Amino acid sequence: MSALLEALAKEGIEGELLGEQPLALPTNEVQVQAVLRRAHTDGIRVLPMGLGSKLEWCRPEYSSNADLLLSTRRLDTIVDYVPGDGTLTAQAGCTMAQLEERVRAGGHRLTPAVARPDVSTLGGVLAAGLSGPDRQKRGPVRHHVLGMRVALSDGTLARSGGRLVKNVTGFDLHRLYTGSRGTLCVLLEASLRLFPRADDHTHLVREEAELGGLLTRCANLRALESEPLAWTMENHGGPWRLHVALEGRGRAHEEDVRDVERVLDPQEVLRGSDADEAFDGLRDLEAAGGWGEARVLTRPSRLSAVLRKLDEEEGLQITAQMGFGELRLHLPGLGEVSSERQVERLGELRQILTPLGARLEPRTVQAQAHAELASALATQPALDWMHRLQDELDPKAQFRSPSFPGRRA
Amino acid sequence: MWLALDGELESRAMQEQIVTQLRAIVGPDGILTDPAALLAYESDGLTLKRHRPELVLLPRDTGETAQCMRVLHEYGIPLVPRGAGTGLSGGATPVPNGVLVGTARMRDVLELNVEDRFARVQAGVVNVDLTRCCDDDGLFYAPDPSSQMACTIGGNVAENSGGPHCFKYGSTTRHILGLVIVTATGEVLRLDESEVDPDGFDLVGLFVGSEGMFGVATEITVRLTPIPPVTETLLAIFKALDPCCDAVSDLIAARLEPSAIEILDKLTIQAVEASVFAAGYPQEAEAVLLLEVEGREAAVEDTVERMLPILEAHGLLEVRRARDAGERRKLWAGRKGAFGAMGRIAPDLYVADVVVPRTRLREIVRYATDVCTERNLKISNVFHAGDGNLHPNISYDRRDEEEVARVLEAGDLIMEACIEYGGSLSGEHGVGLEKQAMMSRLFTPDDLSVMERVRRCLDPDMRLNPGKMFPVRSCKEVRPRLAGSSGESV
Repeated sequence: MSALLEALAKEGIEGELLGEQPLALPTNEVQVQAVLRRAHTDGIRVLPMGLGSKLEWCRPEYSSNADLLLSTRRLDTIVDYVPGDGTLTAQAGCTMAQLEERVRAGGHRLTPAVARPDVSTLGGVLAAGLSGPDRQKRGPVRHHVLGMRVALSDGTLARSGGRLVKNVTGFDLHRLYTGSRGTLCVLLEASLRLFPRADDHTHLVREEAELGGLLTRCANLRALESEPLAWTMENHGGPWRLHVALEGRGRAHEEDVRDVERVLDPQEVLRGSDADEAFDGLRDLEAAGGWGEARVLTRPSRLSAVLRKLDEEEGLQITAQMGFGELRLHLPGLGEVSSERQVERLGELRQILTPLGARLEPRTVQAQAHAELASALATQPALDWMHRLQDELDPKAQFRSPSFPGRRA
Repeated sequence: MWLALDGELESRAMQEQIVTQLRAIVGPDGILTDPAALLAYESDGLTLKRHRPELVLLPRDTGETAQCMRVLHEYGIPLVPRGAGTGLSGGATPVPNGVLVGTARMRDVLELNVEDRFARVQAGVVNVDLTRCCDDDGLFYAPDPSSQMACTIGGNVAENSGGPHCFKYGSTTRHILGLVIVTATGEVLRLDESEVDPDGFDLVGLFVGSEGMFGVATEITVRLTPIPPVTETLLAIFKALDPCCDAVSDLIAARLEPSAIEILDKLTIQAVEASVFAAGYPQEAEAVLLLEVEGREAAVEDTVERMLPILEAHGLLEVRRARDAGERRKLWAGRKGAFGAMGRIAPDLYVADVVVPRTRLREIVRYATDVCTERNLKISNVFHAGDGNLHPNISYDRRDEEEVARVLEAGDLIMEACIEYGGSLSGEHGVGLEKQAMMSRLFTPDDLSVMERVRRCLDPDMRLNPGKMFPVRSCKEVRPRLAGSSGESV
């Protein structure tokens, strides 16, 4: 047991070692506050986390540089679920699976539909700014965060927003915190807008060896009036597969299915619980990266050109969200290729993508590549604003979190 | 005179020098100094609060705005950004010793991308004009405040404006993809992303709804939405307001998804029907529910079929369906013209804007009515019931000081009740001057302090829209400073 954990234990705060690093496991907001106050006073570098499923997104040295890991996993109470109002308020350590199960009983659906909801906490998902394939219909997660309670690096507890579906009172700091990856605060509690759970679900899949035919079908799908829940192209199993997930009710849903069938000519049409399972499979593709994942952002109109070009490359597993222009690239990980080769490979991909109007963002990639990619992500004035916000909310650079936007040099 | 200088002559000379500098940037048509011209800028839609600006600047683009902001920064002059001045919370009310920076001459649509469904516009583009420019391509801009015939996209961004169809499509923040911002120091910040969720902090999300305190947005990239294939507009007529509210709560609980759910009460109906916005609302009704359902034909029919039994269970007298686009337009013109129509009741109107959980609609509407009745005030209700966003409107005459006091007292009581019910102070109008004193009832000192810290780090001199949103906790005001000296707060 480390001296730090022993000191925290005297304040009634439990902890354990994760590898060689001390991990604090507070059970309530007051304990989180106590940990942060001690860290602030003693100059302890803290890495906030949930269950740790996204720690790979850090540059590796960041997690090892932290003096203390601070997990909110034991803040796991569902504070308020009001079915009649379509809102949910929960503590950061609740798993997404726990929340999904709770709202399903009330006829609601939670967004984002993330990969591995059983090991993803609400706080972790929001800190990572994760959206799932359902972003196609629902929009990004940040649109559905109604309010938050957070702890700043000095232990200050603060709230923004509320539990209401419409509210413009005060600054939307919860928008700032969502996706800030633990660089500004520790998320304690959040309120989310929920969506009605549809009665009927259908999942349609077409597989082809060649990409070109599927891209033509995509262009025709775009012209339909149906609004899919998800619309994903992937090549994880070898050949290209185009998935369309639909949800709805009765006659209207059947009309949507018929339209998509006509354009897609699918080999698989899954209904009900089979469709739900297939959709869960799509979600889990997001977790397939391991240590070698990058993200490509582009406009939907440029996706075809980007995909054609990437299809010429060897050894890439690709998941493309066709409606909103996001691709995940799963490269050979560091266990399979050398660190230098991964850096070189990412550089090659950037050379390919930039002229097409697409940009590459690092996820679970080698540290040097991460730093190089991240440095090109924002214009200098925007980076300056981000650094000013970090300096203001975490003046002692206490949070040791993923590198972007990084700390001011 | 806005400069706090030693001698009046020197002060006047300095003022003239500044005006000359600014005129050189924006041209003679871009600067207003004539007191008669400045009168029109004394307030926004919150006419209870007025202050004549020292001058008004109307730059034509980002470059001119940046140059003006650099001059204002050099002399430490506070400024208030302004769109069309239709806001109802005093967000665009001028501040003492300050300048208004208006976007009225920034009216160009810079890019329309139909394939990727976005438009890039200057901040002064009028909300409804944006939809007009893309409706031939089957697209529209979803946020539709009642003032959409006049309000600007820049103003909508500053206030995170709503509107009836936000029930389905969400407030402005969900439709903004990118921004070009001129900061307090005149630096240009390009957050012009039409791709999804770029890494880094969501500065766009932070900026929307910041009520002009972080910078002046000059260019805005907005998401456009496909026009739905079928739109059904229904007018449901009720014999009382309470069951009408309960019907809305039950529609939400049944997880039905119309695109708009609006309530108008009897006094509103009568005012509308007596005005140029007359929409054919039944004047004998105690309340009507204006519902819109959009989507594919089968989905629309299904939703309407499911809604009707719920409405009937709450004493529905009759339901009318708009037979064509003309009837639909008329029904909406009545709703959106309601605030204007209330000029028939009294010369002035206090438009409250509060939010409650949607399960508590009936209670708060009843409470607001009682509060006004007890104070002998005329209240009419027209509101976004589907979002729990109420607009209890109090008609009054501002020449009657005693009545004004009663109006303000009633407004405060309604806001306090909303907070008690788990609600909030504003659903779409913002805090501005109107609600700043109530902020400390809703938020803790730490909550407010974090917001103020964020503001201060983006505008260290606090010159952008000073004296708004945050409750006055100490006697502080921004005074301008001379070039080369440090700013001062006293």
